[in-house]
Amino acid sequence: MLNYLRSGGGSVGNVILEASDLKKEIDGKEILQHVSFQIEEHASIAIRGSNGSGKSTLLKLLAGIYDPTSGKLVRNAKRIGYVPEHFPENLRFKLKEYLTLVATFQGMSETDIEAELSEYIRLFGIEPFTNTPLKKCSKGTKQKVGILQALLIKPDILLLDEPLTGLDTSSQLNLMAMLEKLKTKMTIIFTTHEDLLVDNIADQIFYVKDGRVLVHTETKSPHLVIKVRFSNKSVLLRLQLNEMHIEEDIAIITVSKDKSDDLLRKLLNNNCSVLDVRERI
Amino acid sequence: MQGFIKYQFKSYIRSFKIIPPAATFLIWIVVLYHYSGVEILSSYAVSSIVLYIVTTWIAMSLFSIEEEAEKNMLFVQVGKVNYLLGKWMISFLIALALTLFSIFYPLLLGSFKETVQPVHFGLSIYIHLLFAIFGILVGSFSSITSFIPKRYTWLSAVLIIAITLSYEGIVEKLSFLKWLLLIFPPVVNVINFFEPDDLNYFGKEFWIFSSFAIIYSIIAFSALVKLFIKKES
Repeated sequence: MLNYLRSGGGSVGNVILEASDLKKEIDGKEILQHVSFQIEEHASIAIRGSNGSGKSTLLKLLAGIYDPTSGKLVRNAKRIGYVPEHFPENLRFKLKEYLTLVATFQGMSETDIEAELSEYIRLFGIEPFTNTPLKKCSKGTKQKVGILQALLIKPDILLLDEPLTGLDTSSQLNLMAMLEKLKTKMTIIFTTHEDLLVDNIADQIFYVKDGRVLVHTETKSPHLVIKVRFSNKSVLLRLQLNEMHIEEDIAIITVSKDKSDDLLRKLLNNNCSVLDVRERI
Repeated sequence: MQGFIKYQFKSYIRSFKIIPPAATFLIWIVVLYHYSGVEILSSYAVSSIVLYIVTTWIAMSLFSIEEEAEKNMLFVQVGKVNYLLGKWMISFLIALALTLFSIFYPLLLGSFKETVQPVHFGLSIYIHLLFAIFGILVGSFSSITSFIPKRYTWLSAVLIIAITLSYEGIVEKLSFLKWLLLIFPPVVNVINFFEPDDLNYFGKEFWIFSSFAIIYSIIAFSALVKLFIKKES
């Protein structure tokens, strides 16, 4: 089966990744086959599928970690950033030392590295750990370092394997906010099981099914994302909302457009402050 | 590349995996020159054989310091070929440091029975570095190709070292293997010239064997790059 997928919707932009009839076998087992698609610059793609379906394999193919068994994959990108699902446990460096070394791989000058790093470290909120050995950092901090090492090389394509794994809610929201900003600057492709990430970041979804067939669906649906500050959590729980993420006294609720007016009314009547309402991307 | 070399070197040193092979080499050299009045070229031949074994060990341990996720990140950050070249460069630089110790330690102790001449220097540096390269080749072949299952990597390295060092004995008993064994580094062919401890032995034949050894190394490194890319595809 051949699925020809074009990301980015109506108008055709510059194609940054093009796969033609890709096939990947690992140890004689067919993981992916007949995979064809084009991805345009600045597209945001979510790769979804059940465990073992071949999502990570597809991401590694795009990253150049794997080569296709057959078929053709063209990357029109100078630099690719890759964030693994699990950041390595045994890196023998301190946090800042590691990032500085990685930045030197691309021939960046020490002054540039220092300026860039300070900015990212502040943005990711990891200043207290700059001189901490990576082995002693928390899972969340390591995950942030994983993303940082990819961003430092100023990639044209950012590939993330399950980027929300191991992050607490606050870090998840921070990361999503950051990815939203990055969307305008680079192509982002990620694997995920999280609806929240797909709803907020992805323009399109690639489904990897049965480890073989790549299916594509539009993510755009008439939904609103409502951010509210609440004083009583039980009020929100009584509303029986399907998609809600709570962090301290802030809740992020995704709701279909036709139900949004009613929900907003209920929230306001229950002393919730509406901080933000926007369309789901 | 410089940044990657620095990264690899720090990571390797901090893994402490360098200690067993380096300590083995240093102790061996100290024991080798425990007695004074020893021959120059044959002593350097012995230390270069030890360097061959130790560099194999170093190369293999260098290829085992990363877990899969780190290796994947490095592939993306520097590319697969640069990753491989970086590992080889680190192996070579460490072997170079051991070579310098091996050459200058007996000189400092005055262990040799004769005065060391510049030609001895040239030959000793050549034989040590050539054998370090052979060690890197054997260590890499056992670690980064898909021929050898992971659990047999050390066994295969030991086997290759044993075959290369006992090449003449094997060929004497099993002459039909003569051509087949050419796929292994020509260790004995070169080292034989150093055993008589006589500079007169270094004639045309030595240069022919040396040229063969160098050409062999270039071909072997090129083949290893291809095998590595194939394995990591």
